[in-house]
Amino acid sequence: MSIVKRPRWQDLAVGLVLLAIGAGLVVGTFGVSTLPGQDSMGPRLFPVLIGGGLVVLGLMHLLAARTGGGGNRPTIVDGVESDLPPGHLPTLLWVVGGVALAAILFRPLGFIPAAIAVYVLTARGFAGAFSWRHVAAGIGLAVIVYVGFTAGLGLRLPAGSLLTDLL
Amino acid sequence: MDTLAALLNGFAIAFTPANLLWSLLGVTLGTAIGVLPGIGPALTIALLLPVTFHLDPTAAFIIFGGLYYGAMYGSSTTSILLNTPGETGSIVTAIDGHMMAKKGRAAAALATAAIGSFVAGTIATVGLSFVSPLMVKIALLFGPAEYFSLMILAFVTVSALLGDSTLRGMSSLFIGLAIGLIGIDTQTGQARFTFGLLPLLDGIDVVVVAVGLFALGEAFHVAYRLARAPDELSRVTGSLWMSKSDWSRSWKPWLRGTAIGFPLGSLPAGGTEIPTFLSYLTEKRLSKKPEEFGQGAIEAVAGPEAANNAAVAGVLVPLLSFGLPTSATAAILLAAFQQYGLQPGPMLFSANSTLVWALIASLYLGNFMLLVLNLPLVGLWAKLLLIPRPYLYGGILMFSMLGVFSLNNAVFDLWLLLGIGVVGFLMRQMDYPVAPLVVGLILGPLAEGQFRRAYAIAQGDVSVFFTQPISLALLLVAALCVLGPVILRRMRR
Repeated sequence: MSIVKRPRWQDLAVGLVLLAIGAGLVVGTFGVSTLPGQDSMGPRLFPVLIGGGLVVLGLMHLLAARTGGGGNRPTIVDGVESDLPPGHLPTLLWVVGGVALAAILFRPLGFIPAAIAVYVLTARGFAGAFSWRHVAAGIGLAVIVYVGFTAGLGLRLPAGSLLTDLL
Repeated sequence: MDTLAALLNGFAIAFTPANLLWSLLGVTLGTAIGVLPGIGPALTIALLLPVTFHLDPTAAFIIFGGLYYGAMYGSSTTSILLNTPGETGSIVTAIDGHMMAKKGRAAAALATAAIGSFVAGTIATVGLSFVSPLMVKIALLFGPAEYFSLMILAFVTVSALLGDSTLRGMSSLFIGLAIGLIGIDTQTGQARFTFGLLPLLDGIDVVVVAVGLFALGEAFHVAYRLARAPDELSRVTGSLWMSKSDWSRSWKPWLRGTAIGFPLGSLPAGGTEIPTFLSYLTEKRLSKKPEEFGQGAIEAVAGPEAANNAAVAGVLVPLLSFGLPTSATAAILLAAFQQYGLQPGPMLFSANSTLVWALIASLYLGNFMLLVLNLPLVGLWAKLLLIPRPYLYGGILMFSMLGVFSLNNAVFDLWLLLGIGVVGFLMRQMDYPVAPLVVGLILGPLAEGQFRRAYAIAQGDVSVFFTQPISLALLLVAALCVLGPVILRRMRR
């Protein structure tokens, strides 16, 4: 049986994030106004409980970071936990960038250019090189989906405000 | 007799040509997404919600039911041929299934998986048909206090028993609960944690979260870790007809897998992973040749495949009779019910009995269609694995953004989607399970509602949760689930 080792800084970072969210919930709860007569069990109780729970979990992470425990248990069946190859940041950035670019383009240019953007940038990331085939596939899929959704299913997708403003 | 009559009535509805077509569409789509790595049933149902909203609920749930069953069949194909499980429930299948494929016995492995899934799925659907009405009788005894305690138990089992660390499971759950707080408080109409942002008043839609975690998070993970890794795709070789010894080595594991999968799936400790692991270990212990396990033993494919299909049916028992989701997919199905203004639980069986029984009947039919789709046509499905990753993930992300945008026609949701995708990616890198987050998000507000109702009925007496016997028992079991392992570990030392 293999035991997965976890770096301590990870527990530390997660612990701090959970603490911050938990504390934020508890403090933010006092901004939730209540009606008179329901101050104990109104809309405030659960946020405080959940925030408190997050604070406790955050502290437990900090404790795990100190002791290096991390609550690891061995995997149940041998051979299931395969070692992952080291990460490759550029690929990830292409894909994340594709989604972000599409979100930027969605309103001004409309669905089709945005969809092509996310498709081509994602494909570029995964393939490791730009290819006109990805562009062709992206255009084809985006147009089919646009026509299918707007004409076939009657859903509305933005055609692009820049385009409609010009016309 | 009531059950049988209702079930027959369900068959009458499921057998109409339109509904048969919806079912066929569901199982076909389900098999496809099961085969394709990177997309699962939770994600697909989430993406379909905006589209199926125009359909009548019975048709929509027949599609979802077929999809839910189909994904389990499809994922075993990927496990066996590619050694990359399509879904978590097929992790174990991948071990011996892929070894069988390497030894040229891929077809036998696929056949025992498909037939085993059919046997288990059918028996478990019979179980679902007859156990759910009994569960409904129990559910009718439940007041808000009991419901609240049951939800606490579900929270605990989903986050403490699944995954390999209680701390990480609980952290994921609480993040989900925290996200669930955002929006207007249903009881008083107060806005909570909306940061003055108008789109947050309605809360964060579970579809955005599910798509963010399961599509974007997964795509980011594959991009970061596996984009450059070569795939080892095995071809479908050997005869599709299992030999006599294959049959005699398979049928007992099928039945044992079913016996393990259905009850465990029905418990609030849902999920499909644990039953498959247990089935694997059981078969290994009972085998005369345990040394073959890990080297391509057919029992190690037959048992776990039966177990995961039985568990998938089992998960529907608490979902339909109590409205309690115990897996990520079940949580999305609950969201689908809510979208139609339906609340799963005992009332569903009386108020919408035609829908429930048509859904259950369609599961029998879907299971049969899946056997036909998967046994002779498995070579065709295997072709889906030839789609290169750049095209596959480009398509997944395009559809994800489309699905999320069409929820509210809001670009805000797309940015939210990206943010949740990054969170899902980080969770995946650091080994935090995401299912508790989804369950917490959807079940948290319901638990809060039940708590406040119970509190109001008891006229402000919190002890109601500990004085009602059923409620107390549920809370004790929940406490045992968290503290049990800790105590055991202390005692062993």
